[in-house]
Amino acid sequence: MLPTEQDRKYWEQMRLGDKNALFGLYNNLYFHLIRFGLKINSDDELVKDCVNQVFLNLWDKRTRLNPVENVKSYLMTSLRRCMLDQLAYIDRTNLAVNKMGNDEAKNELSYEDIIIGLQQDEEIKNKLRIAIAQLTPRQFELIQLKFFEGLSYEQIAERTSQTVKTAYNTVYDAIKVLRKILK
Amino acid sequence: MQLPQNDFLIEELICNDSFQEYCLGTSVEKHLLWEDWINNLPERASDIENAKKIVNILTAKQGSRLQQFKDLKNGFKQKETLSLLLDGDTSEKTLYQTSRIFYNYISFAAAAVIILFSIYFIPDSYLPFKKTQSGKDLSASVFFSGAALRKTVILTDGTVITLNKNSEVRLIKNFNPAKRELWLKGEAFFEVKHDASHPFTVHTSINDIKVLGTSFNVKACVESPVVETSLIQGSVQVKSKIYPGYTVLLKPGQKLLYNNTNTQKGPDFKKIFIVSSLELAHADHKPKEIQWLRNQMIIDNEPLALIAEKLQKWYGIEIYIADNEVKDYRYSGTFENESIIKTLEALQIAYPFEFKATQNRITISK
Repeated sequence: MLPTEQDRKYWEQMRLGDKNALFGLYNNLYFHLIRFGLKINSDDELVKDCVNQVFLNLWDKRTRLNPVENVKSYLMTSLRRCMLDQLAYIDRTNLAVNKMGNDEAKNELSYEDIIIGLQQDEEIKNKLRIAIAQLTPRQFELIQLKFFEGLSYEQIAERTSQTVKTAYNTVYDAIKVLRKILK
Repeated sequence: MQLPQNDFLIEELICNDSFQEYCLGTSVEKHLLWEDWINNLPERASDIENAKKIVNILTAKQGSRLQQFKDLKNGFKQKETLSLLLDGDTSEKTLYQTSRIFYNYISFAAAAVIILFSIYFIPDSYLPFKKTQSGKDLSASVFFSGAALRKTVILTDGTVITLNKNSEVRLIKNFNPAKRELWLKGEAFFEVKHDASHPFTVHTSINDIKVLGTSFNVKACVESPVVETSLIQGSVQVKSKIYPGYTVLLKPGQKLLYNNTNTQKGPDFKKIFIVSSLELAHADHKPKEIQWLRNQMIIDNEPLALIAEKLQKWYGIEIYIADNEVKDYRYSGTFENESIIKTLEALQIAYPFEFKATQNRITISK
């Protein structure tokens, strides 16, 4: 079964009151939603909280839900709305809110923005900037695929048309550079 | 799946697919497998910690799905408990059916607030009940730590308060999940349930602190002529009582110093309300403002019964273990948490147990 079909099946079961189907949906889409949220706002606590809030709300209104063609995009929209509400609540004048409202998905954060934005310590932020600057574009791309997108080395090899060994070595060399600077 | 040799390089560990999945909490099997491997390699503990740190940075703190899933389940339980509390007048409130029932206020916006306020202002503005409310409202619950180093109290909305020595909180009459206000004298750490429709307010003689987030630390020393409000995470709004209408919204990592020692004619707000960054201790990069609370507990293969004794002593709340079997669960690891609830949750990950918290007692069971 394709993942999207499975999501739809879970959705239907969830509407009928099967909580385990809701949990199945959660496990299927968790990382996807977190990544989507981080691209909107690099506050991991906010994103994690909203992801769970979305699922809690989903359960509350399960009887009023309609069949959905694309469960993933439905939940992405819900997550986005939840984050907007929370941000607006925290600070009504928050610039991020205005930005999110106006620019829609066009201005999503880059992987680099996200991982630097998440660090609270200025020193680590700087080191991370320096470290990333030392990586080749290819190395950084593979780091993103491996750690952020969560692909396996096999998937990376396939997507970037190289051998698994080369993919691994590229990531390994990049990690060496990062570790040296972040130490 | 092959686990690394004991002489692994840190880089190899970071690049290990399975290790990354362990860090992201993708499955219970992986979690147990790697925890076991890590526990058997105490001499490489700091290297493993280093590897985790890098993975955590590069995965953009996507978090542990296992942990988040647990939070979700507890969120459901929290909702059930809250609706019970709001519907019926249940006198014995069990707030933690299991672990993080109040999931969304820990994770969403943990806030730490530290307040130091002057004795000069206390006589006229403390005890607000006296002025504004009828006599019977004075029966509001009061918790006082006295000479104990710390005392933990769990409120009916699920909020956990850890009081420092000689500190007191006084709850509003009929404090409940929909009506959350209290008065503080002394120092305390709060983990407050985040609930947008029911704000949580901490009153002090000088300021009212409205908690927009979830977990915060309040410290108040009566001898000091200053008020200090420090925020670790989340959001709090500090409202001045003396200058009505003046509010400061704190961001994580900031503190607000209220210093009204040099009162002149026209108040210069910039000098009275000073916002600055939190001081981080060199040893662990944790804010100095909550050092009084943090307890580094190193456990090496100790039974839960013994750990519970230590926790009881540190946090000042009675812990009762209902099942003998649970008493013998053995744990290893280093724990450093702001509250007893967080520590128990950390322990739960290795060997699951249940716990329930009432106002001044935590019961652990299978």
